[in-house]
Amino acid sequence: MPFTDPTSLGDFFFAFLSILFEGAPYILLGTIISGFIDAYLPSNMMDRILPRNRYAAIALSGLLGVVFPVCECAIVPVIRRLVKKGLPVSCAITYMLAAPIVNPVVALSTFSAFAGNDPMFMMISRIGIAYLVTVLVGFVIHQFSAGSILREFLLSKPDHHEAEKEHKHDQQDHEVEGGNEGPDKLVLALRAAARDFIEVGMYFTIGVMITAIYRTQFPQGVIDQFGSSDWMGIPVMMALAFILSLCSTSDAFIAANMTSFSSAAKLAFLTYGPMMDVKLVFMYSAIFKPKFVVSLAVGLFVLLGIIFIQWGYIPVPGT
Amino acid sequence: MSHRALPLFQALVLFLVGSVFVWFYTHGRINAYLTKAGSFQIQALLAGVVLCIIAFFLAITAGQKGNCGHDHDHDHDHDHDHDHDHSHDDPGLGTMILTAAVVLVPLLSAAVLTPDAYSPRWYENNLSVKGVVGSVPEQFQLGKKSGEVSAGEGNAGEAGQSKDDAVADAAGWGPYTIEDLKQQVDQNEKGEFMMDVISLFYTGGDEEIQNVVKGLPIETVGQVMPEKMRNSENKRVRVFRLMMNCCIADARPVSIPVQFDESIPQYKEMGWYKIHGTMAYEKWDEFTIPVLHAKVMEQTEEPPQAAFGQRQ
Repeated sequence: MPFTDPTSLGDFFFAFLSILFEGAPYILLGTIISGFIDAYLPSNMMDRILPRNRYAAIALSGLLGVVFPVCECAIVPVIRRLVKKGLPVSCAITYMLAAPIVNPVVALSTFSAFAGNDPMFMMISRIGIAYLVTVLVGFVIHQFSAGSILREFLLSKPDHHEAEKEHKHDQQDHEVEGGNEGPDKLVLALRAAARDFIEVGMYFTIGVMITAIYRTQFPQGVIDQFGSSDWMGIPVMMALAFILSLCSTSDAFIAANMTSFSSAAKLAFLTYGPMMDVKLVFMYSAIFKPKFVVSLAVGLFVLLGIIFIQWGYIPVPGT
Repeated sequence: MSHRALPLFQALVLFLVGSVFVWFYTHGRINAYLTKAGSFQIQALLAGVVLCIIAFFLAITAGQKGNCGHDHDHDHDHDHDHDHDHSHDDPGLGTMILTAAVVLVPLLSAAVLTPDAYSPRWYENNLSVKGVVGSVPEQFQLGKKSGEVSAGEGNAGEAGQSKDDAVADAAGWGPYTIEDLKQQVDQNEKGEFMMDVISLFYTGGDEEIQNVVKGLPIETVGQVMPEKMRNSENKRVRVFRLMMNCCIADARPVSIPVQFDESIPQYKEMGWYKIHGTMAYEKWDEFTIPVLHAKVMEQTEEPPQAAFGQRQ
């Protein structure tokens, strides 16, 4: 039963809770994965798995979502932990930006959403452009030092748990009271997961609040008038993706119904949104310096805007 | 500060968050927030249950020292010469309380104060009075799809149609007929076609379907609001349904005008009504707007899924 009558504030609470119910399970999944990475993954293992050639490693990182499909909410805590475990920043950011799009779940949802409207073209275009752009971003980031990108606490290496393993202590002398290695690692993993859930959840909550305010306090139909031209439609759709903060597994269903916009504008929406949106700005701020987050948001906006305005001149098969 | 405090506090936060998820699911309130289609609702339940399990686990293991997996209070006779000062990303309890407050205050406030519905003001802001623009979502398409051949078709060439028409018919793309509609839409005992508001709205985008649906008896269910457009005689209301993809935040109301011959019967704004009438179409600027000419409008129960993307 409702506790209050519908009001403007009630609209906000209603939308806020619905986005939270939709997104929080993925954040939980990401933080549990991150907790287990923290407890069980040896330091620098990712670096050892990836090719020695950094450019090849970046290109491979862009495809990791095929094997480890995670959406944009789940990936932030995972990346935070992987960076602490020694994953190079350029590879981490490439994986972080690409995985929410270059993964089988999103491929399937995009195909389903555009059924009857060139689904294969939309799916391949979305995934292909996202992959190429994220790899390009990785190459650019490789030119910068980690210190100019990461927040201070992520720069202290090696990870303290690894230091524990690598230093001279005899492991037997250094056990936690009351347990052997197995249970202690599980405790460690779940404590790390809980900590990450609350910390990342804080940024997620702030982002969701802003998104809910936009969705409930402003008329949503006003953007339709920008659909007539790609010069306006593409940036407007990217700005909309930024504000709406949709999950990459379901955003194609929204885009497919935005019938006043071109395919290029829809693709811009579907590519920019999973890489950068309001909630992600706050969540990225848990890992990256604010200056870098702003640069990434603006850089991706400009790069994808240019690409999709050109893309708009490509005829869609079947039309 | 006891080493138990931080994990116990984290357990409390996780339990509170998880309880909200479980509460909304078990009381059926989640239906108003997430679509039944897909696995969104079950994901929310699972998240709530897992959060509560983790909270329980953290609480019963809170006594274990070693936030970092080892005991800091041990004493032994060798030097700690490694960089191991524990000023890493372990927050203090104070920081964790502030962080948790940002999560819990909006969540718990929303959970207690949410009305489980949008206000009339939201609907007014978001009701589109335009007609159909672009393609129709697949779940609301009435038109024939490739491979569907209606009853009575299949002899197009012999019926004297052009070669192109015969080819189109053979492919299942022949003219849309009342037989096609009967195959796609159920009829009530009075013979009225039971169509949802969203499908009726989208008939405005297809002239061929309009030619079939126009003048047919229709029964539909939706919420009713005052009509603000082209209603100088005050004989119209607007009936709408919410179309939701994943969560209610992405929902939008889809509506059509309802015309009465005489004055509008008394109704409760935002109330649920079953409307019986016949379909007509009007030109509003460049759009074709479906208008339901109502004979009867009777109050009805709210359907189990108020916002939907499926046929009634």
